[in-house]
Amino acid sequence: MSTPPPPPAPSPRTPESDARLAADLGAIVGRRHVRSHGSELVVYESDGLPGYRLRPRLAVFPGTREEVVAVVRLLAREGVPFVPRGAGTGLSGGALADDVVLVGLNRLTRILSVDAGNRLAVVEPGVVNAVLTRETAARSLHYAPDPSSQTACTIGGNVAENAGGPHCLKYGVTLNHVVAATVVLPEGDVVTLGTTDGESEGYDLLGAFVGSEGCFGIALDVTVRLSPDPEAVRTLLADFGSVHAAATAVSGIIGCGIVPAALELMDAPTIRAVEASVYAAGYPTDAAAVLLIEVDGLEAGLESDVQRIAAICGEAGARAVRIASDSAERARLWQGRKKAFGAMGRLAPHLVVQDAVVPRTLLPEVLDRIHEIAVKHDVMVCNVFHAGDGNLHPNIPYDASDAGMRDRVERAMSDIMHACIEAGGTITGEHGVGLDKLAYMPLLFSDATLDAMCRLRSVWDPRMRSNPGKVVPVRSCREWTGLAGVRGRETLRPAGQ
Amino acid sequence: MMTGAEGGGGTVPLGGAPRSVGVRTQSAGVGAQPVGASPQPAGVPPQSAGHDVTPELGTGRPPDDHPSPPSISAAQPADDAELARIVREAAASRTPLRIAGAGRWLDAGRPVAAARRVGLHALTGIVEYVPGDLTMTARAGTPLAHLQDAARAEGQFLPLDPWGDDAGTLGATLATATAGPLAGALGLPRDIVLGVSVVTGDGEILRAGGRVVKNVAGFDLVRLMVGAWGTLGAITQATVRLRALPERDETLSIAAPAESAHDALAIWLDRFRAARVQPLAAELLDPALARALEVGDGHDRCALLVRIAGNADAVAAQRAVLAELGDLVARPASIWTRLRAAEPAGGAVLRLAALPTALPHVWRTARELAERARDAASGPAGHAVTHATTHAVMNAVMNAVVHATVARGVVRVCLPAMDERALHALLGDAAPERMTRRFERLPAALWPRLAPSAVSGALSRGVRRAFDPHAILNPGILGAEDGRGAHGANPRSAPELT
Repeated sequence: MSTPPPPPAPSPRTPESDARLAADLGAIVGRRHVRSHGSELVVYESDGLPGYRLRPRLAVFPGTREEVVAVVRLLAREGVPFVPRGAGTGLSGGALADDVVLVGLNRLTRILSVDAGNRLAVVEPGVVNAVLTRETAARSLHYAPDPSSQTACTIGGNVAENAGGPHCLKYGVTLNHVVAATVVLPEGDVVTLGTTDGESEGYDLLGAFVGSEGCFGIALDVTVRLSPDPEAVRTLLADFGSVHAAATAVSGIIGCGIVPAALELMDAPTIRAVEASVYAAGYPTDAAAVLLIEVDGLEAGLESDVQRIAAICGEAGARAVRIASDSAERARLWQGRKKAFGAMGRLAPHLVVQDAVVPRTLLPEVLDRIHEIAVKHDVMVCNVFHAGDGNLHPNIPYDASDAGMRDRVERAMSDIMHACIEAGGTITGEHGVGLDKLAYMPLLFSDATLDAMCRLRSVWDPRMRSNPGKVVPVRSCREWTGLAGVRGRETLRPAGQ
Repeated sequence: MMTGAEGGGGTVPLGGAPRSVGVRTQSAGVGAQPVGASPQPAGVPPQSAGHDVTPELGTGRPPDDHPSPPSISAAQPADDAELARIVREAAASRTPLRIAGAGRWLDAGRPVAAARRVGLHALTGIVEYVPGDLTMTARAGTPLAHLQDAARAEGQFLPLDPWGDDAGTLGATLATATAGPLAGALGLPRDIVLGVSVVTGDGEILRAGGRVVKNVAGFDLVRLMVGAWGTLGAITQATVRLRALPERDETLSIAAPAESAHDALAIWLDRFRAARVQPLAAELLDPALARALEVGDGHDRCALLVRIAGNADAVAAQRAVLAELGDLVARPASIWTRLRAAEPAGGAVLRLAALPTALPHVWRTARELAERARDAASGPAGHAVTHATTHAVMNAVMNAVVHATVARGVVRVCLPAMDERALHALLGDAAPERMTRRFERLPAALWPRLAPSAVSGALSRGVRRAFDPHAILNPGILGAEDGRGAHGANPRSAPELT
């Protein structure tokens, strides 16, 4: 297999070279948009996962597309690795810059165009997900992928992670909503991927870029598909005396041919956490599990679907099925779900989040297994997940300063991950691999496949400077055993030098 | 004649609907061969493995006169390991390979310089089907019809309905990313695939993606393989997502306003697009196609074929909305199968596309092209009949037809067989303005002249090298890598670089 040429060793870093780099970046974006002091960089040490703290060497915040390109080209000239970052809400450590340059895209917030007739919008990467929906609402359009962090996360970040969200069950994930993107590659070339008429030919490079977690380059603009607002929406809350019963209802609903807009399951610990918080949604605190179900579409067919779903829930053993009577109630029910992670913050200072997917038919079995694991390691698992597509978020609140607890939590998480993989699932449904799930990649993919991913990455980023050390374990790259910007046990010199 | 067992309906006929078989004869360049649904290779005559790289115009032969060049050997591996071995050997000896599915369905005419043909039709069968998960894993050589039958038995269907018919294999459908009427509502092939196994150009077996419906682990090799025409890896197996059969599934035709009435069609299409309906499919047919499919009803106008599905209330409501656009006539589900197969034998097929709001303009352009084609077609009228099958549509469609997938703004033009020079003159070197032009089928000689290379950009070249370093998998099938060919196309204006 053809080898990327061994890259030049990075020039030795000195305080002078750091200062010069900061000054050069400042010349492009304005000095006040470069952060180089420890105290200014602390806030960028983490993303959405409190468990990691890695400080960038510098942080630069370009304000325009031209500045982004100039910054990337400067970094290329200097051979400096960098990490692109959106809003920093990620849950896999993907935007962590371990002593490398952080490039923040959050200042590029313009919606460049909206074509309501063709339901397309062109946006800069820093546009907040919910803002796009807000800005297109007047045309009865919205942007469908709705991760729970949507009031903060950016479209650029969504593209990097191929973000999902509860409504992706019916409407698809980011990949299904991105039509084109202009990308600056790490070596500085600017390319257009995809075509607006959706009739591209050749390799689906846009498809490869979506979900590449910032390792292939930085999007300068993204053309997204907008969705028409459904004519009508109904939201139901069903509560069950057991998680099994809820999972049975899930299978029944999917199996009867209805495609709900969303189908979310929360277990007792999650419900109690939510109801004790400011996000309280009126969930019954004595339920073993609740299902939040939404159907939407033409008004005419909806009532029939709602009745069918209620019946299925009843047959599965639901104690009660409540239908939201107005949009305020609908919003409150959803708030409880969307803020569930936040609510867990009340239980303990830290939270470990997982994002495995298992075949939906195996949900009851896997949930039992997770419960066994929780008991075995004496940890509390709060399950909240997109039951409709088998995407679980078994979250564990804990106190990281308690070493014993931390240990048990890590082992529990590892056991849970193994159980999900054994069930034929995957390690991440929407959060991405980032740093957090690197260790599990060899459990999912063969050496040959991991090496192929490395080779693919080298095509986009020959010197592997864009978000180095993420997604694919470096030791899986047969030809490339050293990586600038990745500290620790990795060597800093390329193979052969 | 049908060689196989049942022909796949390929669509979503409810119980009782006739399952007519959409059959296409092979186009120029491949021995005319009856299309069957049988996955078994028994009795398959050797087919020509490919075409000369730069054939001269005018030397294309009639469909049934293409013997296998003696130097071209053929292999039919029985499993992934054997395919991997064949590819490894080919890589070591730098022997280009022509990777084909069952070879029964899609022949785009794309020239491939290959010394050896590898048919994957023995890689057949469903590996795993979990109806409760709505996912199915099958070997690449399995005909779509077989998968549809299995899904239908569980009240489900595979939302892949490529133009042509369901004798085509899963692997070929994905490798060529061929879509059909359902794509506007249910997604393109890239949206339906969850995972693939492939053998790359150095003989490695890779498994990308997975079997679950949400998966972002690692870089997306699955998307790269779909639509790569085998050049990054021969797909040997794929996991796809299914849908539940709707409770009700109706197809209606509506006569469109006369095209002669200024802008009437455009306004009417706007009304349709704004209407409170969510069709599974909506195809605009030109008068010739409407007549051939017997939905013309005696007037010389375009017809809109609309498929609405869902529960009884939803379908009734949508029917009422559509009734405001004109008189509705119910049509059998089989009409979609017939539409997919409705092409003049042996002719070129192209797609003109722009954004959906520009459909009227693209439609007019396509109709004018079809008119000119009818004037230019020089093949004898009886020619198509010689190779026609029992299917009524083939006998009726001997001239150019035009139809459009309304939701996507894509117009498909199916041209009759004609002399290559005349075809080149008809099409011109460049796409008409304000739309893109893609070819589904052309005589081999015209590919390099009319179709810009799809893979000449730096990223594409790099991706290709990463997966097929010795360029032995279907070399040239997506165009020259250096951008040569396509008269007037500048390699530097390849779509990637801005």
